[in-house]
Amino acid sequence: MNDSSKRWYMDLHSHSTDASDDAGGTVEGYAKWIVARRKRGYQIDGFVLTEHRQYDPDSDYRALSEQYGVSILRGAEVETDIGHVLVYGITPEFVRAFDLRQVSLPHKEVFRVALETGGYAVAAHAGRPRIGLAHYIDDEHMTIDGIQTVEQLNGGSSVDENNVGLALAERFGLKRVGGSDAHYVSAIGRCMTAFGRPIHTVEDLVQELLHGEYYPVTVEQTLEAGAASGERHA
Amino acid sequence: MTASDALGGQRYFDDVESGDEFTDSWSPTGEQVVAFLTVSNRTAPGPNRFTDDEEARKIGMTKAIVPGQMSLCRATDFVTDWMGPSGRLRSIDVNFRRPAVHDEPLKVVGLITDTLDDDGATTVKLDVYFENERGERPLQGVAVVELPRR
Amino acid sequence: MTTDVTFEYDESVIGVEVPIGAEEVTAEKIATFCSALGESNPIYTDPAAALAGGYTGLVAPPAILQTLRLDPAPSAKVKFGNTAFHSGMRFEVVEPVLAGDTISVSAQVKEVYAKTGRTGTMVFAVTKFTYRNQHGRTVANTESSTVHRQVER
Repeated sequence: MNDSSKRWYMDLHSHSTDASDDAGGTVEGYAKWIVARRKRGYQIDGFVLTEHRQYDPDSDYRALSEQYGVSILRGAEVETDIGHVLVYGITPEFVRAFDLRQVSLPHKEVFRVALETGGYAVAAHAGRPRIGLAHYIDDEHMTIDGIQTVEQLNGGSSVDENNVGLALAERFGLKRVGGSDAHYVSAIGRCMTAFGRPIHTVEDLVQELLHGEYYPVTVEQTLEAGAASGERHA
Repeated sequence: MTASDALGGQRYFDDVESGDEFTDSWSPTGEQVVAFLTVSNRTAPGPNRFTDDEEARKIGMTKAIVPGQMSLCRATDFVTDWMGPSGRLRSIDVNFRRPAVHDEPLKVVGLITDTLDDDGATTVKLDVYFENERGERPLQGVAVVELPRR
Repeated sequence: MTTDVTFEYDESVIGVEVPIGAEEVTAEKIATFCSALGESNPIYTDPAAALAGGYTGLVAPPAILQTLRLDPAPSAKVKFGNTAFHSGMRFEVVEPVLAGDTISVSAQVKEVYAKTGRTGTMVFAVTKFTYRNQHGRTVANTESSTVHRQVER
């Protein structure tokens, strides 16, 4: 099969028991679940751990990643004055610039510093009340300056909330990603982002978010794609 | 009753695998909530958020809500019903992420996420959740159950 | 956990275990519970099935411990927001409870902390319950979290 015809499906938003106290899923549990899902025809290539309000530069999931054949990358979900923000490609400079534990970081700075330090920021669960971007644009009259991409399809949001995110993205011409917001094993990969190239490292991810073409998908949509293009993980 | 009768509904470790799903439905009525509060001696005098829509609206809910303990009991019974007489529930941890309200149809879902054989101690891990018609999950949790081998 | 939120609570109760009551788990209570929740595993509804399953008598559904008639658990008296909700429970089953067992319960406030979620800033108080049978053996442990927050009325 021509490799260029494949999409690469990454779940860009997940939490684990390693660092999020409201999570019930372990990182290994996620990897095992993805292997089990693949056996049933679903396509999930990997996931990004975006633990709440922190980034541990020393945690390393490469061994698990190799053992299960699943890309496991790391980012963070931080909290800003326009709701929660997912940050990928976190550098020591980014960590020095902010106290990630704070719950009302200045979003313009977060988006700007992420870009300037080689990373990328995305407004999380854009359609959710109080913690998503749409609420701050529509109700708090904040501006969208500096925000290029929203997590429009979020596995922890209702259909209505995801539609609010979609309307926002269409109104401002924003790029869209998907993530499960998994806190439990069976939720990982429920919503993902389809990329045109393989993503093995966080650098690959940032490059694709900056320059690639991508769109949000549900895990069921990958089943249809798999039926059309053949099994990839057999 | 013979052992084989009693074990007719038994679930075996050999027969389950990661990804298996089982479901049930639940639509807790106001009467059931009152019965639960009564059995647990938690009835309060006068209307409250668990029994009265108006009281629930005062705290931002759309209708009277289901007590968290009652949801935990329903989730636990869902698992212990599934595991059969020789199964053993080790633990269940749940989060109440959104309120469940009276008469709301909920799908109750169990999903096997892992099977572990630790020197003959055979356990399965399950995700358990309630999902409403809007795709919201009022309860989400993890249960660990010991299941016998055949 | 660090946030820029301030709140008050009674620190003196943290970690102090207090007895909050005892109740016999009768066969009648088990039957009422099973009927209310729709429990149908035969070890909870039929003594013969319980014996066939290797138990010495009718087994109580684990969740029945959530319905024991108890005194109020100690409270950290959190002063934050205008409402409080039950946000989660961790329930560990150590050994089966049988009909006729008398279960004594003790409780303590384990911790109090703040975080921010979909509804704004919240303060959590976690209470730990220990359930012991008439032989003094722990049959179950529960941790119950209550969230305090501000809602618009």
